[in-house]
Amino acid sequence: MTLPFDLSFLFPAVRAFDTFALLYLLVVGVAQFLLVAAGAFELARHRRATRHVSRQRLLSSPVLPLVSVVAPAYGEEATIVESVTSLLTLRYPRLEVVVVVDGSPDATLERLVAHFELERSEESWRAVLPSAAVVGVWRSPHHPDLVVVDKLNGGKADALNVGLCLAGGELVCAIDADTLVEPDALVRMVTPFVEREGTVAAGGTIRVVNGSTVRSGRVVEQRTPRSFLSGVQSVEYLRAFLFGRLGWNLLGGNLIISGAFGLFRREDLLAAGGYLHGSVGEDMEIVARLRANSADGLPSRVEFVPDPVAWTEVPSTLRVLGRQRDRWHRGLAQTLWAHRRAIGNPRFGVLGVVVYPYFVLVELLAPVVEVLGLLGVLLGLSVGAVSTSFAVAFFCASFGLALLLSVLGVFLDGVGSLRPVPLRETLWLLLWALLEPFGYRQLTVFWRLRGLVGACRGRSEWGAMVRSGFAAPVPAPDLPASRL
Amino acid sequence: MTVYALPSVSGTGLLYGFTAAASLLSALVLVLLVVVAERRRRKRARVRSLLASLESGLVPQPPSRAAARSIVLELADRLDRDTLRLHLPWCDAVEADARSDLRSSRWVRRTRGLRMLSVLGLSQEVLLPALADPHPRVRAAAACSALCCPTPAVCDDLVTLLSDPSPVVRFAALDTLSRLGEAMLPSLRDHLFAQRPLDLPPPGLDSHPGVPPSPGYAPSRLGPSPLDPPRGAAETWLVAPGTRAVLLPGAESSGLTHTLPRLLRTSRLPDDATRTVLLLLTAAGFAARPDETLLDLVAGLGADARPQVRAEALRATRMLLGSSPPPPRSRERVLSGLSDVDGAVRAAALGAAECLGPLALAPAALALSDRDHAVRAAAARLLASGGALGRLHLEAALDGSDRFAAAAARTALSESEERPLPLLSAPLPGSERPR
Repeated sequence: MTLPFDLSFLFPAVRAFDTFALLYLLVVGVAQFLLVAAGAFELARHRRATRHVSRQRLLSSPVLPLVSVVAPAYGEEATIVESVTSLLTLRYPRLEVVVVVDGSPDATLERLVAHFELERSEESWRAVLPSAAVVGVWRSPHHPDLVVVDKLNGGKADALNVGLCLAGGELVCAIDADTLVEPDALVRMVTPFVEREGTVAAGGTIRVVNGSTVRSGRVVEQRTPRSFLSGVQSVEYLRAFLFGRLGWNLLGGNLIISGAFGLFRREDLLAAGGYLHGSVGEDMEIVARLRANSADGLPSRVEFVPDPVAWTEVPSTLRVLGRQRDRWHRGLAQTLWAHRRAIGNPRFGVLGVVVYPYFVLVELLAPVVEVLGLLGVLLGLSVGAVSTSFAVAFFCASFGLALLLSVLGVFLDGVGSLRPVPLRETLWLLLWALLEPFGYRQLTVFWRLRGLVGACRGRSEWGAMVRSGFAAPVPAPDLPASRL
Repeated sequence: MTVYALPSVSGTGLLYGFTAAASLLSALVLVLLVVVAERRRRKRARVRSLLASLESGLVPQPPSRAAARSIVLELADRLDRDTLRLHLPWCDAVEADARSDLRSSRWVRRTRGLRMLSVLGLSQEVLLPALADPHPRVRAAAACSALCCPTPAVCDDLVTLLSDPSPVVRFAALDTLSRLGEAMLPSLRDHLFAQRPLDLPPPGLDSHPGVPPSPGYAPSRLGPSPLDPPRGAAETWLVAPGTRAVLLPGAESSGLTHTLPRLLRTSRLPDDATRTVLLLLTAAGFAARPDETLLDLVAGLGADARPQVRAEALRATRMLLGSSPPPPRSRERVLSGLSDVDGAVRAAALGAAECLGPLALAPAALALSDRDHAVRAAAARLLASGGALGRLHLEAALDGSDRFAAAAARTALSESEERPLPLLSAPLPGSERPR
């Protein structure tokens, strides 16, 4: 190849960067494999420990702690009734449901009032945490365990804090109002608190409800989404939960409890000052704050329990999905920055030496390295510093790694699942896993990069999340005639 | 100028090798997934087919050991032990396997054996060694299984397990002990008496050695969180919800009254209200009849500035009185509690108002319209126990305009239909009645 100008001065830089990208890929690959192995080991250990435990016995235990499920609601009129219904019918002996309507402009409160026949109630409670003004407290004569709080808009963290103050339980389950929880999820989530000392928080698996059949607030038929966008997100969720968080269990380094479904000790949350206002990643931020107690020798264990399942609706449009991923990455950046003193700090043990560096290098900076790596390879190709075969091999290796991780996630899901998963649904998952690297992955890199830039600029808005409700599943395309 | 494309041979080779390995691994994982899914499907189908045979009255061929265990566990919730053995001829084989599992070196097998034996029949001879197993999961399983074999020796070991280093064992022991209720009290009392209670008042206070210690009962909300089961029965006053036991060595009523203020100061319980009521309720445990001195003391606390103390004092009044007529001061406190500014106090007063007899019904009917949910519920319960007159008030509330009152009345009426309504047995003030 002959060029009219001399670009040989770029070769060392390009080669050095490509080598760096190669090494980064290998390091990430090794780290992910270690997490997978840890996740598989932890799953096996969990199944061994719970195989001979009687759930029925636990469900009737008089010594289980009272759990308050706190569900902030904003713009949830399409799904709020089903969500609250599913919460009220959870199989847990001592339960309280606190729904906090955070100044929702739509008919969220009206739907609740109409369906549950709520009436205003005079309540006295201690405002331990500052929050936006509470307009009123509502109760239902038919559901004494249900409390609905109407307040001025203050954000999700503000709503959670109000719920924390009003809640009477020793454990608080922070949940998104559009999340559907499996009936016995709570009793499984409580297990780490009663079995291990020092547990301050526990999280469970979140699955994608898009495409599944929901009736009366319960997922009666689990189906893999048939649309590309929802389908690839379901694969992503499996990867993130089943070996991302499960793997960290073994290493003692869980740093995230999903805001859609997490269980916390109320007194620890109150002592930590509740959720942080103005944070777009309040779920990660509060867990990071709770885990920071480890430096002072205080209880700080955060567990992930693979059994309990909650279902959530994922964005089905690019615009809404982009906003969500942007916000998540901004939240990640903000939290890591706020707790930067823990990064590499041996005082925090595994958290400081392993977990935080991993989140910085692999989770936070991954989009930067991916984009620069892509640009580096393209530049290298254009100037002749990199051979075509190397570029092809590089992309194949990236694709292969992503595919393997997705397949392992599907495997752990299939093996660890409590209910049988039809083979057809597994095949759909594998299809989305195959297609994920073509377009979707690049989009998420772009959104995450945008989120990182936004975090550097101090952006803190949430953006509007549009829900379509659970009532009707997304129509599925016809499958091939052969029965699978 | 010629630019040479620099081949990265070693890098390329590595990457292609990585890709090939990833693809091969993916394929292997998929095959494994299919194999595991198929095995599970067959196992489920086998169990379903066996259950179907049983339900149609046929006695199927002895299945595999795993299937036999699954069947036994599946049917254990529906059939009692004898019927299970009658219908499943292979129960003896399952039991023999379970006993063999107890001798296994693997803790999972020992746990499995305990679970099976808890369904098929568990004896003390099997349970006691399991309660001392070196693995915490096995001890916890044994503690759970102890519910079907609550002998004194087992209860003794369960109480000892409250001091186990493993939290899962302590939780299991606490759960079983709370379900056993009064059956475990002798063991607990002996254990407490043998221990050195850490909260004994300092030497020099009055006490009456020689009077045996007695357990008292405290409501479940008093004491440590179920998430932090006590380490050792003697380390704290409280053991299990509903059957909390406290040791007060050698205290007669008069001695207790005298030492009570000092005990309040020296106790390490969380707060004044808890300490107060706990100790007073302890007195109820060994007071053979309502003690007027104690009642007077409790009534005095009913004027405390803190609403939680007032509420607890009213609950203690209820515990101490039972259904006996209250002395004048206690009656006055209960009546004033009905109009207290604090909802919890009003609810507690309604709980204690049963001792007032028919005089309590009118305030209870008014309290059905209280703004506080707990007060409405307490009022409804009081009316439900108030005989025909109380029921009349509840039925009137059903048709009223206050939906909350109607709901409380409806709940109380439906609960009372499940249990026979006790007659309003509290006598009018001034009449004597044995407790």
